[in-house]
Amino acid sequence: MQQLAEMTHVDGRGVRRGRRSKRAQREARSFYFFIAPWLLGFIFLSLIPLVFGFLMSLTNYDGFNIATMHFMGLQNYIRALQNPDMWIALRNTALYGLGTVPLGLVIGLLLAVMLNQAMRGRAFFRLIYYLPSILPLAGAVMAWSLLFNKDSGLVNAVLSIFRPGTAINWTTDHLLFLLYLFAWWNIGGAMVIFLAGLQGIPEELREAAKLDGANRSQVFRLITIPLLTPVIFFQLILGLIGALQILDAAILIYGRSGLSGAINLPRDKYFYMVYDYSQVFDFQRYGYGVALSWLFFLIVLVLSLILIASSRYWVHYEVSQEGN
Amino acid sequence: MGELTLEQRKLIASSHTTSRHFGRRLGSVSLYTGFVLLTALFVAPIIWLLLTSLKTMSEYMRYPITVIPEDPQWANYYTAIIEYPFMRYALNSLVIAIPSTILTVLSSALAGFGFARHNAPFKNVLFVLVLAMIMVPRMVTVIPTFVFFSKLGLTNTYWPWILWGLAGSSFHIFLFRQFFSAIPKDLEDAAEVDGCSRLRIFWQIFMPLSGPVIATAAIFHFQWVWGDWFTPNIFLTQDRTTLSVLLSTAYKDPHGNAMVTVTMAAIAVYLLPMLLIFLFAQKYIVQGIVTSGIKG
Repeated sequence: MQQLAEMTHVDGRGVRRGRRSKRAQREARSFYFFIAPWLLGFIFLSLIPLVFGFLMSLTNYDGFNIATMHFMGLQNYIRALQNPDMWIALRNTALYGLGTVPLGLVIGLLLAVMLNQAMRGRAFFRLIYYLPSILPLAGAVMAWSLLFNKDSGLVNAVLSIFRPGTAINWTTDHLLFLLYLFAWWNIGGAMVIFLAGLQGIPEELREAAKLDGANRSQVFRLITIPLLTPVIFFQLILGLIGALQILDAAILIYGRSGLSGAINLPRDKYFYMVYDYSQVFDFQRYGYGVALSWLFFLIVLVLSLILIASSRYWVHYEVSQEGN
Repeated sequence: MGELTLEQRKLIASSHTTSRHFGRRLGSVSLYTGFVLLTALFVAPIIWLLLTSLKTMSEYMRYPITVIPEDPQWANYYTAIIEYPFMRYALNSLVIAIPSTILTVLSSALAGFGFARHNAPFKNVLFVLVLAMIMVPRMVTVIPTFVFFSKLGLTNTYWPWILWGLAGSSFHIFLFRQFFSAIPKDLEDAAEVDGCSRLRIFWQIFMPLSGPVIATAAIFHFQWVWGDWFTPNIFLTQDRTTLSVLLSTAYKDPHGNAMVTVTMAAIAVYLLPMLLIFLFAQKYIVQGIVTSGIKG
């Protein structure tokens, strides 16, 4: 958070101290005028739900039992920690994060670097690789499960060329791997962010290094990567938070029973948010569900803080920023 | 080996350069092969979806499978769009997504301008809060928000999207703030000397300059709402819900059998607007991300 706070402090107008002039007051009023919609939204749609939700996690609330609702202390949290389903879900979520976040960074960066060099058709390749990640999630998942269908999918058909009669049931037997593949299909989002980062690196720096006799891999290792570390950091944090919240893709690949039906996913394939979702919206365990989500929040927060703390050792922040 | 003659050196040098040339050519050929293979992998699911959408159900279920539909069933598209209530749900999706996009972009731009071009007490604290909200898992706020909205009678209406739109989004506030911070101060000063109000400076100077960022934010947000399954699934009932929820389960024929190929035709049409918007605006998206300097 410290880093973020520093990142935000880039307004180069200088700090006025001492007597607060009329002008400064006007400026402050105008500031609050502009951020008012966000601020109101933040208070009513984020802050109050956060506080209310935390209080809810300390009760046995189920949506209707106002009369019999009572305070239970940390009991929901203890129940969550003692529940084997929670641990299965947490383990699956960790495996999903480990399989998608680091590889996402590496492959995304690799693609971006390769598609940043001058070559024919590069705009076309960029476009194609980015395409899957702009598809609406619900449709993309349906296309994915069609491709990996056990009987009529293209993947099993192609595999059958090498091993006749291949009929792998991807969704039930290899769900995690299927979701890894789905995440890698959507690598274009990371690639574009890295491309933007690469284009932000001044060409003179690389030229200067080359003049000093650095070869391509040295330029990459000593110039490109260090200057890209803020983008890598940004992508790492956002990617991690996004990946650990995996929910829709897992539920949609498995399908549900009926339009408003409960989740079809078997328990041993739960992800953390799927478990939470099912507890709240299939079983109306609101208090327990919010407790689960707060527990998750805590985990994400600790991981993020570790990453933010580690960033001072490997993230290279430019001292001055453009435009200031 | 003793001293090399000049001839030998030349020979070695020339063989070096040819082998290097050859190596580079080989490298670029294999690079292209790699890119083309990847292209095939990336588009295969979409092509497969389109091919499936043109098959009959019996062809779809046949084993071994066919790749090219033997008799393209364009009627699948008619069935998917006209005979099933596709249009009604598409309208629901649009009625949610368009106001939500306009409001989110506007509100985020306002807040981004506030943060970029003003000094005020607690500004930095508030901006850290903007960023910190990115880290809050959505389930943490969605569950209590759902309870609030259902008590207020706002579930199964489109009001939640209006309210969320008014509040803007952290990610887009960040985009706009980064972009606005980089604009030279002279423009603003000149306008201020002429007695322009802050709102007019925002609307007539800053907004017209930020085309790529507006496009980026609008496209990302529209895409998000159009593809969002989670929120409408929770907040809306079956008849008011969006296309994404409708299409997440297969169409059924009167006997209750899944009509997979017709559903795929519907999904192809569902993906189409995003593809068109994207092809049309992809230049601006990359530009928007670059100019707003996500690099922090």
